[in-house]
Amino acid sequence: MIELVHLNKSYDSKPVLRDVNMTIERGKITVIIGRSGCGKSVLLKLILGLIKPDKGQVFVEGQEITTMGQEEIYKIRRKFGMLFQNAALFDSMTVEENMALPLIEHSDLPYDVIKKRVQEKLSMVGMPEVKDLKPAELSGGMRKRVGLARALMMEPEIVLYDEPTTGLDPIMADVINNIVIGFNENLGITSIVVTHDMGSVYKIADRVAMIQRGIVLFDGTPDALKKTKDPVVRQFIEGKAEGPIKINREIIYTRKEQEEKLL
Amino acid sequence: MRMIYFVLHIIGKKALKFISESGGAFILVGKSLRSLSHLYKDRRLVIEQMLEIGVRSLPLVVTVGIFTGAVSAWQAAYQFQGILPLSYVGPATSKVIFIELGPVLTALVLAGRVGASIAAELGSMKVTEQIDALETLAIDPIRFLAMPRIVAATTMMPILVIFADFIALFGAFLVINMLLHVSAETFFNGVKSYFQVYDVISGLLKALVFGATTSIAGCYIGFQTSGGAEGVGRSTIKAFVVSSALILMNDYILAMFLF
Ligand SMILES: Nc1ncnc2c1ncn2[C@@H]1O[C@H](COP(=O)(O)OP(=O)(O)O)[C@@H](O)[C@H]1O
Ligand SMILES: [Mg+2]
Repeated sequence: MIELVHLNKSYDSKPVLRDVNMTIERGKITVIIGRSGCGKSVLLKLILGLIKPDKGQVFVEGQEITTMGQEEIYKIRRKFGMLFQNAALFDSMTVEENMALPLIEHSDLPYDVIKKRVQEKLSMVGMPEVKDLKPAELSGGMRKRVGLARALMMEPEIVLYDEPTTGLDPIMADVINNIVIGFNENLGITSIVVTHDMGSVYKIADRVAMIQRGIVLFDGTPDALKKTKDPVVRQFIEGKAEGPIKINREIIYTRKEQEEKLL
Repeated sequence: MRMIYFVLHIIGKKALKFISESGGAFILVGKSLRSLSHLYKDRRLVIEQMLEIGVRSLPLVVTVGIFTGAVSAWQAAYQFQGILPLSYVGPATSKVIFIELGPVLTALVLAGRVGASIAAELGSMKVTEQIDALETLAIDPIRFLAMPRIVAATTMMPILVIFADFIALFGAFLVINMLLHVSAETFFNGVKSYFQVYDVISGLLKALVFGATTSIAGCYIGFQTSGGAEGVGRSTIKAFVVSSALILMNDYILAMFLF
């Protein structure tokens, strides 16, 4: 459904993605993992055509979006919903206005029909009573759920989730995981989830890809991930400070060093 | 030799940056002009911005107007001492208000009120990914955010300037009448006999250009913001400085054409 071919993207001559190749299958939940700053959000923005790659191509249902003009790309984007890392709700609007906006812009539906749809989507994420609140009045978990509900308003085929559980308490994280699974199972939504929350990976993933140093280092099922022998992948999924991935020693002290400092 | 090369390198880099930034701003203007075709459909957005930029700026404009008028009358009287009779203070002050002080001071004050606040608002939308969210919802941020602000600022600025002009005239009248003891009749007859419609129109034309410049700079700088809350702060200051400088530069250029 989505194909990434030799994607390459640098910022200020610092390579972020060097050569990313991947196929995202219809109807599946594909989870992309990797350390903070490895380019996961950049990858999602490339898929949406929000930024252009330096080299390589992105195909959505066989159509290359990297060379498209604005009009065409806006048409393709209507297939997509996106949950941003901090939800990216419009501060100046209420929850209802946030959610109604895409329909007001892209459809001729009368406002009471739109209102009904807002209510329906809010119920799907378990928040039927927040429509008149402003984003500033919501907690982190509530914002993400409103962000999810907004992403659903145009009834997308594909939803991208940027770190949906980061910064949430474990219970709320699980609520979000269940919503992601629900969207996939009940609505048949193709999902791409970016995360470094391993609990979430094992719970929701049909397939996992790990990005490290700008390339796809691992690509397979969660079971294969658990069994992999690659030391770099193992260090990440087990969450170890020591290993082949070196962390700046000035910031990360070993326990012994910390004890010495305290004395 | 190395030194010269170094200096040239810096100048060259700055020049390139200036050219690319002006280029970027022109692209923004071009795209905004194209989205004018949505003006009717998006009238609600435009009206909202007109209220925000126009009506909410009124208290500031009144304050600026009254003091501008008062101080220019007082200083004109000082300069006229022993050279011209005080009955000339009214006409002289009104002229300088209509052609220069009304538009320029109003625009300069609104460079902060409008230009900087546009940059701050769009900048914080940029760094919190709200602009990306609009793009993702297939809503063009230039049409949805920039066009209404530019249209509103460009149309409201002349209206605010007319308002400021009359408030300033009133401020001048207060000083001339109450402190310099020139009668109301002398003042208004003087103003009337030297009044030229061309002065007011050229002032309004200036205001139109200033309104466009300020809002375009605010939008462009806002959209360019990066680097979190700190970046928003930088953009806000930059928009204020750039708008003010552009207003003064444009004022000079327009003066060459108009007078
Ligand atoms: N607009 C940008 N300008 C400069 N650097 C950027 C920009 N966007 C991302 N980067 C850089 O790209 C790298 C990857 O960023 P990102 O995709 O946000 O990481 P993450 O995997 O945590 O989502 C980071 O080092 C970041 O500094
Ligand atoms: Mg990220």
